[in-house]
Amino acid sequence: MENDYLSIANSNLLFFICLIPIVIVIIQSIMFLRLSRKEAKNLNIPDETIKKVIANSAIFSIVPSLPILITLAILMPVLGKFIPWLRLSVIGSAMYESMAADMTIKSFGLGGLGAAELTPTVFVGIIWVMTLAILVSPVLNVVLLKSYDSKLKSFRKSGGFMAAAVGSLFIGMLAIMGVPTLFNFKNPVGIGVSVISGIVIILFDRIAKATGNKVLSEFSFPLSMVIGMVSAIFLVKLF
Amino acid sequence: MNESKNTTSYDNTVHRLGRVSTIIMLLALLAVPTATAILFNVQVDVNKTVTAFFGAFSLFGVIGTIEFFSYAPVLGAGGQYLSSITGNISNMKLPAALSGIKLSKFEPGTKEAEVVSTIAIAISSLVTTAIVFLGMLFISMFLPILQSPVLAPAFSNMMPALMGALAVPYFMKDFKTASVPCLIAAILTLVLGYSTVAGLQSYLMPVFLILTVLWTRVLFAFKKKEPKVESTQEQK
Repeated sequence: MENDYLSIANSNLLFFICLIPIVIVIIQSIMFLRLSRKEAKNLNIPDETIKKVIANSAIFSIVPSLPILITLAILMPVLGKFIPWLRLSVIGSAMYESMAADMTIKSFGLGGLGAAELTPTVFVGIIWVMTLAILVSPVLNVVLLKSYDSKLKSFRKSGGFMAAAVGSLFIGMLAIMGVPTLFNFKNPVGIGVSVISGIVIILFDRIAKATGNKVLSEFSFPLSMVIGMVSAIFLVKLF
Repeated sequence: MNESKNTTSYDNTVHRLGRVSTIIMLLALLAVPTATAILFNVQVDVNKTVTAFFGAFSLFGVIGTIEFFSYAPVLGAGGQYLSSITGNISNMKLPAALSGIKLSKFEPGTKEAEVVSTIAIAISSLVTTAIVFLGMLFISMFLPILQSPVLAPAFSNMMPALMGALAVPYFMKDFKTASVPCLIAAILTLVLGYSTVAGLQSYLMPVFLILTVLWTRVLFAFKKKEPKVESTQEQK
């Protein structure tokens, strides 16, 4: 009985337990989508613009979803099919889920992710830790987001400097997320990839503007990203 | 009192939907370990589980708090509710939102941009959910492709590709605002090294948001001192 946790982890019953939050997240996304589309109409945003945004987001999201499947493949032999499926569909990221599982397995005195002979008790412990340790952000959303959002909106409404400041925040975010990659000299391929995808998107945007090419205009971002990624296959041979 | 002045009926609906759906989701998530333990008659080792929880929470609890304050102004309320539930914010939801805003040509921070951001994030969430579901069913088919040595450099350099394509147009569009945060990020990386800065990224994010606000303040002051061709009087 001790080592039969995989029969629990791959059971039909666990599939249905995991299915419930996934169905809720789908319903939540659809409800927000409908609400925002309705508001877009009220704001007189052309339907064509919204359709472009939808297509762009759908196409772009395919590529970053693929590495998630690699994490899924790493976690499935250890945690069965359904818990990694749930955790990587809801809240979690590849890094968080792997680390949370590894930390829990180690706290049970076992070797860590992959090397462990888990028991049902460890398995349930892992699910608890994965679930609880990452709930801070959603809980803060429930408690604080309305007042925080209202404060941000009052800054925007006031105009002048505060409106400009709130509007420029994403630039600071992109600076700390994007610029360090250009100085990661241990990964010259990454530097090349970043530069190539940056140049390609500028070129695509200019060509789209000059020629009125709709496909290039709508998909310049995912296309540039994929071209950057493909360039890594060739750059790796140079460095 | 102040809240109602700054929010519209759309905002109120977003918050109501966000709060209710988040609470339902939290309960559904907590039901997973509870139901697994009860239905499969598994004993829970509370001590060891709590020890592991505190280890993970000390790291991800702090990161979650920082991310809450950092992402909300960029994603908007609807986007924030959705992203916190679906995860993968920096590598998927944020780029999807910013790319959608760029495509729609609205200024970030406006009401229109917030609506576009929510739509982009909702679509991104649905696509990821579908792909992870297909992945769970057919992983043995996908794996040889995903782990092929030829494609490995492409996947391991996904973030540099994403960041190049996402950040460059915004930096070029607003070069003045981007200049100082980018310069400081570059200096910091050269001094501390890439791996240290990457490891501290979640903690550095609010620092850079504050830095950007301060730099915008400086730019704003300079702009005011310039000879006035157009009136930029603020309404009191």
